[in-house]
Amino acid sequence: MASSPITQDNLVTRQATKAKKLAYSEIYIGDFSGGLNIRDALTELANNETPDCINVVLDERGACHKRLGFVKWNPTPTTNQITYGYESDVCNTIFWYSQDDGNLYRDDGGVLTLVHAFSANGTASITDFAGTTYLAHSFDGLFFTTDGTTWSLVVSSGGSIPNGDMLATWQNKLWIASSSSNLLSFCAPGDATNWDPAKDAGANYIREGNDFPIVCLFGTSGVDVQAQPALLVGKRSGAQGSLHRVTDAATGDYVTMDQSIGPAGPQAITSLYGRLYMISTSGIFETDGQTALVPIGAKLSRLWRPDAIDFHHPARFVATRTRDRVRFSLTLLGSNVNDLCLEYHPGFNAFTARDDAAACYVVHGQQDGILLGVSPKNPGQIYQHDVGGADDGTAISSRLTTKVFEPTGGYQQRLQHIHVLGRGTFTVETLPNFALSGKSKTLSMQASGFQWDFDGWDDPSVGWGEDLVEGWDDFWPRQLGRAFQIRFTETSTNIGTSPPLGIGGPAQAIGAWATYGLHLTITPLHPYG
Amino acid sequence: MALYIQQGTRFEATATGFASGLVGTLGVRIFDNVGGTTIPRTVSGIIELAPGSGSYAAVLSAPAIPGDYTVYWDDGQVGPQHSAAEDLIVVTTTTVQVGTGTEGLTFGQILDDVMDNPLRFEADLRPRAARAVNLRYAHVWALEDWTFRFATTTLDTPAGGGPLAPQAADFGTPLYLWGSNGSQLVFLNEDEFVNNYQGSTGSTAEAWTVMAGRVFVAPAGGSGSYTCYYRRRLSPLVGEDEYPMLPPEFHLILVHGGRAELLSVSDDPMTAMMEDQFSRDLEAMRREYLIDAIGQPSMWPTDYIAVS
Repeated sequence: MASSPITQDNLVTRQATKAKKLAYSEIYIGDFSGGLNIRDALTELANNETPDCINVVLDERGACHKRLGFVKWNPTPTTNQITYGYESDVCNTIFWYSQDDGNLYRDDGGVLTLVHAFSANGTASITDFAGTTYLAHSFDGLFFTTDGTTWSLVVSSGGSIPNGDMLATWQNKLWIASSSSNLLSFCAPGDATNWDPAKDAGANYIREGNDFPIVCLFGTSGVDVQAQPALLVGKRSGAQGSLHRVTDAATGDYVTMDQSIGPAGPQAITSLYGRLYMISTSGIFETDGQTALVPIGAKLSRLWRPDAIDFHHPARFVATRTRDRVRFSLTLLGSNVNDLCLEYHPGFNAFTARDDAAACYVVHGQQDGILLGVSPKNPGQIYQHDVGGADDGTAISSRLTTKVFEPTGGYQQRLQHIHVLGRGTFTVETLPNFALSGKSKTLSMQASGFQWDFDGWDDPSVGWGEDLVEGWDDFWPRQLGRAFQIRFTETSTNIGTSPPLGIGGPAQAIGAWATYGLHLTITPLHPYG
Repeated sequence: MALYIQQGTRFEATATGFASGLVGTLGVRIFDNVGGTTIPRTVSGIIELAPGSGSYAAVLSAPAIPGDYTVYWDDGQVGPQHSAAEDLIVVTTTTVQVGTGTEGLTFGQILDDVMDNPLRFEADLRPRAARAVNLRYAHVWALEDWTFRFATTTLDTPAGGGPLAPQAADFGTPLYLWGSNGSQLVFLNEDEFVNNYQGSTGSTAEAWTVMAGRVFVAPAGGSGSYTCYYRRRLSPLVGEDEYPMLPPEFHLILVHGGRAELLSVSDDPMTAMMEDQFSRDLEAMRREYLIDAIGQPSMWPTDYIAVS
């Protein structure tokens, strides 16, 4: 086939070609529900995933919000680090225990009162059982109280009371285990003073698969399938573990649910919506208590390596539920305390990262279900989480970075414009070609009347709900690149305020900023149109 | 060859090819080229340059209104052999200072509009926008012989002689030079000028040239000032309070041009639309500020200009 002759008409410059071909291309990012994924390459992430986020949470539609902060719960800290907490319905209080000095405190609205001094350095566990609150101490034995103030050693009415430091209530029995053995013991039905096998008390060694000691007991209250109630028993030795399910409360018979993965420590399992969530030395898992573990934290798998996590302290790893979320606190390599919190959103199976880790948690059900967390860094200090815009007065730095987008398949392009739908004031930064920094602009989508302590936030005349809560702002980076990430950052002590519910009630405090969607306009610059 | 004479000034006109001895018979007049006679025929003041030469001269006054005219000579008889004509272009003596007033948009306002911040460009591009505006400014300026590109100024003879010193800050290319007596000096190219006047001295300059961008007159030795009709030199806009040397009603052309330039370097498809706007602006300005368009050479629009 003969080629066309080159004439003035068809001889065009590359610039002219480019000019003829220029057109906008658009990307809409309105969903961050994939959450944190630090496992996969930046370009392999799903559009709704983030390789990097801190101190943000996801709402039920996948928008990204800054988290709230925490405030002091107890004005006067205890002398030593609190290592364990338990809310007792029987005593209508919270008990806080310090392993360092063995002191046990009761907590009445943030006022902590020393109620008993156990031997220092022992570990302890507390549970309510049959109208009494029991505490198992690794050195001192099994204690009880009915008023939360006077603690007495349990005197056996039959059999020998086993030593231990883990308690669970399950099937009308008190179960006790020691972190130095794999013997699981249980009392007579309804009677924690009677450990006589003739009265249906008993014990069983959880030895299947390994001879690791027991590190966690979790009575699956709230997750029992009626026909298949279960008590979970976790064992661990170093980075290895196993998980077992007691199937028969009369004998302590059990099955092994997983022979290689077990809970990291005594507070490593929590439950929500009929599911169990467990942080281990191998990752984060979910189960219904009956079936195999599901690795819900697979996208964080790079975290569970010796160069990322301190495997010397897995017993510190803790889990808790709060509202409709689950949080896990763990210790990164190089830290002596829990310093990373992972929040799990069961609604869409996604994680976000936070720096408000806790040494242990208590969901204070007797006070509106607020979440209390023990400071890992400030000895004896307990915080109420998800309140205000600061972490005990310190501004919160928040960040979320999108995946790397290659809308032109790696060909040169220019990111012209970012149209942001959001709330609050935050900085948007464009990162070209996998760079760590780029062009940035602070966008403001603040609505008057909804900023805490500003404008007319407490002025009834402002008219809650009548003003805009969300808004749009624009950023024109005009940036050249082959691939782009968008990063949101903000550091402040601010909060936002939502409009009140349509059915009435006050406005609600929410994170200082949020982004609900990004509209990216780019110009592809393919070399030959 | 045409005569370029400032409005209302006296100038010397010459005619050759006539019979000798026509003083008192030969007359001269000035036509306006559109059917009118601006200066009626006169025979007074006409001399024969050399007896028997047939070459005559007269000192005339240029019309007051700038424009194209014809100096017409005749010996009182009809026929081509009895007349002679020379183009007379009367230029303004007004000092036009478009761009030095306070009307229109300042450079800063132009940049604001170009940026359309925060709708189009971010603040970090402002220096780039300044370059874009100045680039289009230079394009517009150089594209045509806009009427506002020309002006007159006074050139002074510095003490001790040497090149003349222009008073106008925007002095660019000198086109015509007149002495203090109103007579036009002859331009010579550099080598002719040097060849004819090297070392010559005198009190009255009769020729001028430009060497290395500087204006010299000869014979050297005189003093005084000269009137120069020149093409203005463009200086880039620097201070944001400066006004461009364009008619104020067309300052937006720099907004459209600057934005088109920025959009172009940003690979923005909106470039074409803004270039179209820029082109339309240019066309409109051509209709208003080109000599051919207005039909009156050097007829300076005065509605929007600051006259000093």
